[in-house]
Amino acid sequence: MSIEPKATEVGFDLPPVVKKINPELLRNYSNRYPGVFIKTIHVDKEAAGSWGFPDLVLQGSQTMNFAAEMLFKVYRENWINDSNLNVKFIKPVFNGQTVVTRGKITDKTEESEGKFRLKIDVWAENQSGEKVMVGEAGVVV
Amino acid sequence: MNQAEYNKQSVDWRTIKEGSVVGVLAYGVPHTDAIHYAKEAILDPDPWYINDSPFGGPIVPPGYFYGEYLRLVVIPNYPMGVLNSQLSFESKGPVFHGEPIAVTGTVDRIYEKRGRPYLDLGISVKKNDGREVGRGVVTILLNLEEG
Repeated sequence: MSIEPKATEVGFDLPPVVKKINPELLRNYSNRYPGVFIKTIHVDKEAAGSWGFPDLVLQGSQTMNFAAEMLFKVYRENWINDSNLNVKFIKPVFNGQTVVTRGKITDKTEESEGKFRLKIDVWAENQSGEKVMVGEAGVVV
Repeated sequence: MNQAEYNKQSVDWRTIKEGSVVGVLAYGVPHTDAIHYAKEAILDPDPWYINDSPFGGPIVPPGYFYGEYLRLVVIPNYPMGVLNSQLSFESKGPVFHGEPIAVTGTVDRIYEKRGRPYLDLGISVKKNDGREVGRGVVTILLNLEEG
């Protein structure tokens, strides 16, 4: 599957991925670990409340997965074979909120003959437009 | 046991040594788990994850391994903390459903910043032939006072 030519050019905005967070989605992600029976802030409202959080908290790595989906949809094999994603979680996301991931190509450098490394600014916002995760991705195309 | 209770009975973070292996998880992601993960945990039922891919079979979403730190830290009873502040991951090739892999966690760095303890946990995903197909680092805030 080939990549659209425009998706390899600086300034390209990746199509966003939108996820509405609900308890089932939080449970399906954070309760999937065999052998881990701890009621975390991601699945147990009382545990979240004990740290002063108003509701269940989305696991950061789950937000990162949403960003990975955005990148995978565009770069396919290239994303699987040679890519990186580095993010910081700067604001918690709670049950009931909506996460929107975004990405924009900021740099393109030749890695080897005919191969280019793209640098992509990546971030996620909540439904109010506040950034909850920021970072950068790289992929060889 | 909830997360706060777990953290209270976990080992003192000051005893954690840099360079130590936290644990090794050797498994294959079962077909049904991989499908459940794609469809229900990340809501991305991509056909490459469910049916088939150009790699020669359905593959495990690379993000499946982003969260493995949570399973690794409980092996030596390390504190789980409450927030992971930073996460990076490189994908270097496909992992197929059921394919045997080993996920190894190591203590890359343990340090204090602004009076709070942090753990940089390295994660490496290798196939049986030793080839690394994924590599990452998660930064975990180990101790946050309850509200």
